[in-house]
Amino acid sequence: MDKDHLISRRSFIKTASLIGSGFAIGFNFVQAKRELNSEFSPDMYINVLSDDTVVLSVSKAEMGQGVWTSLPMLIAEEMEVDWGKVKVQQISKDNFIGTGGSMSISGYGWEKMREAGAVAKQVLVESAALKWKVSPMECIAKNSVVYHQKTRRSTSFGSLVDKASKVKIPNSVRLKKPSEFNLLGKDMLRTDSKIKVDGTALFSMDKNLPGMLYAMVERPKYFGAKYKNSNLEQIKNQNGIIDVFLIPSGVAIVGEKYWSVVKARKLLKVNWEKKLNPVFADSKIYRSHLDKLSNGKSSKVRKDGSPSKIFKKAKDIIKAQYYLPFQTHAAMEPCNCVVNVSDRACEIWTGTQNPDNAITRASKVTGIPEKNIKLNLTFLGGGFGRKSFNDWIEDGVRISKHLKKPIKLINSREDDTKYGFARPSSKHNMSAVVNSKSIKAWKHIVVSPDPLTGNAANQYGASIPILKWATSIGIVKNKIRNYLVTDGAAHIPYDFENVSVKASPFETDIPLGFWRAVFHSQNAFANECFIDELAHKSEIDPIQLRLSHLKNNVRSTKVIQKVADESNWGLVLPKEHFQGFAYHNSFGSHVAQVVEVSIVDNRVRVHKVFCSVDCGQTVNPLTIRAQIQGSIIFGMGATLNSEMTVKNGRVNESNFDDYPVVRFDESPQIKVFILKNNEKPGGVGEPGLPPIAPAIANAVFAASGKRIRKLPILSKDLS
Amino acid sequence: MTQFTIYINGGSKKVKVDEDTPLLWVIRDELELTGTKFGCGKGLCGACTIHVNGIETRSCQTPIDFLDEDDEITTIEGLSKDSSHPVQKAWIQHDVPQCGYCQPGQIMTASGFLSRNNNPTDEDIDNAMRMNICRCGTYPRLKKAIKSAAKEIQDG
Ligand code: FES
Ligand code: FES
Repeated sequence: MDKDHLISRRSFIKTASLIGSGFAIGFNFVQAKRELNSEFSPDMYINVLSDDTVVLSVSKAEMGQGVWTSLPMLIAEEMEVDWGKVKVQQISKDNFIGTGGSMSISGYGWEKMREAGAVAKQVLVESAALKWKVSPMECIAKNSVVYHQKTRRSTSFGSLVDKASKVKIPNSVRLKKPSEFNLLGKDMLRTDSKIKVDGTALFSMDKNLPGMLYAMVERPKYFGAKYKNSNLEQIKNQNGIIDVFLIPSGVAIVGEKYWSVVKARKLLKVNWEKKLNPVFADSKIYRSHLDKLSNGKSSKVRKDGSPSKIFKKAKDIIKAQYYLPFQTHAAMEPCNCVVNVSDRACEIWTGTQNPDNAITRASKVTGIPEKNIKLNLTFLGGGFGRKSFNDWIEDGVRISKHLKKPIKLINSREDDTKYGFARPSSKHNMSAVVNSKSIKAWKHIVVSPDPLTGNAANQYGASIPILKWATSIGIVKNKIRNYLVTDGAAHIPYDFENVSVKASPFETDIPLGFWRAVFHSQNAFANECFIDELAHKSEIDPIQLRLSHLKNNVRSTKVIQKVADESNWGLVLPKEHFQGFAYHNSFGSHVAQVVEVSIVDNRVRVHKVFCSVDCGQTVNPLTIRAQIQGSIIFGMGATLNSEMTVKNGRVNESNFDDYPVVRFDESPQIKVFILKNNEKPGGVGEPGLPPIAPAIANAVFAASGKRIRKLPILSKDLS
Repeated sequence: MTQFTIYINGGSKKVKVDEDTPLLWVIRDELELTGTKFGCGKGLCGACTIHVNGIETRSCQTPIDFLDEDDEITTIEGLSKDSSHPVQKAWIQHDVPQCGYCQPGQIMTASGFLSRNNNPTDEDIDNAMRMNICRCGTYPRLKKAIKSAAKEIQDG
């Protein structure tokens, strides 16, 4: 018999259910501050109702990554519930969990969800034992029924809800071994599909309140510009306009209908006072600064062996420089929120990846204590990192506060493109020494601003006082920045003996943020394109060269071999089709990809992507496949279609015409192979992205003999 | 502002709006049928797709006064009772949605074009669906779902 798994009894609570007749087990998804205090307020509940349904209240934001399905699966596995009787409901609590960094399951969900399920099961088993006056040790639960085999009695979960009030939360529970899993690792259809195909799923854009007004914000034309004057008095007289006034981020225009606001906004003329000497707020100037820094001094982040010695002695050093552009997120649903501020309370409806911070900021703006601010978390129409910043929520709160009326703030697509927080554009100087078909020394210098300690710190760091404090100390700030920009560069999986990874971060006035896979998207491009160059220069098969440096890494070796086999790597391909390979390890998961491309009229066409994934113990393979496919398509856009550029202190792009994303007919056939094991679960929302750009670039080299060292790949790069 | 009567999802509704108001905002804000989504406002993404007399139409590009008196509008809410349209059923069966925001538009485009062509080639599907963006990248499953919906429509 396995050892029992001890739980902290104080981290679970049993109460009457708030949503029907029955009981509920409440707990916190993460160990919230409250759990440590005496005042304990759960943010998740398992409701067991007398009609046998089990309603799981999920507090984590669903932005497409499937948490409405995967988190309940974890609970249901341990609780032994009939999956058909499980319902999911989004709840709003004042302590939320942020969504980002592929953390839903890998970080905190795994253990806590399973513990909660096991606790609920134990309560039900003990309730049955109490009812039958037998020992709970003799009872088992399966498929929403408790059995006492000796006396052949059985009773459904729902029939036990009254007895459950007499049972205490257990001190310990037994968690299943992976070999006992019935649900985890199986394909389960999403629980939120029906409401997403009939139009009833609630996004914040869909929330309406009686008497609600519509608002937009005209933001500064240039980064950091200040308001000088405008014709806002005249705009106030436009049809349907209620008020036009200044808020810190720009000019707020409020009207009875959205269309009146759109029309009035077109007539608004604002004079902005440009910031004096904006810092690198122009793609050209920024680019030459990247070049300058890449040749200058940089700080050490990792050093193994004696790389400088090897480089000094080497006859032949192979070098390459890679350049990546800015990218914006372009989530399908532009940022928006519904806010109702009254004298003493504030209620918000929005889809945010960072709900705690939204409450803190709303409280700061309104002076209303946090406990009187209610945030209703809706579905997110995509996030990809953009919806961590909450800038639009602060705007909405200010506008509603000014008018003391409910408002809906809607960013236009153009607002969303121009006033986002971009992935930093970066440069990577690579050098290596290859000797007898082996990489002897490897050097990577990353030149990039970071999104956390620079300008964005005021946006995002506002929620993390410790970060704000830490980044005010020069040396700590530098450590954080160096660590951030080399994420995915410093922790390369290859066993090179002599490694040097350096960073050269800097400040810019261009607002930067976290983009899907964060710095892994840039660093994997440099790593995996460069190792491909090294392989070709040394006449070694690119996959073989990698494998020869992964001898002690079983997981990466397996994942690479799998995709090589499935894609028929190196074997005959259709005419004019060529393959490229890349591998990367991020967020606890290993991903290897082979892409098959052809080039027609100087345009790259991706036909197939073979992708193998090792993300440890799998929860829902259907979700994993969807996330991996989605990451590949998202990453393809940044490789072949789009780039964000800055001119004269403002973003050039505005909508899907000048920031083109991947469309249906460009989407390749994608085959995902999930390797099964019982390692700790890794993330799946981001790790699929980093390999796609280098795999495509390497395939383009195979097809054309042209090395791609700058993204996106444009026709003129191929002609 | 002008008063209009429009026929939508099988009934008639009166609204009072500026005559250049795009149908998108009439549907979403006046009639509170919020399944139809705003994505770009420029006819580029397809999130706002509805049917006008059965033809897929970008509601963000269609001012209300463009409608003829007897034009009939269908939105995602009126496509079927209880998600029973073959396209909706296929979407659920193939686990298509991710964030879900683009899906009402995808479904209206697919159901519109399949009603005219229930035996589409891959190229037909590409041409019809390239008007709708899905930023979550649900395209591989969309393609499968469209094919299985086409089959169900053929089998009647
Ligand atoms: S919102 Fe109409 S096409 Fe994008
Ligand atoms: S499902 Fe998210 S944009 Fe399509």
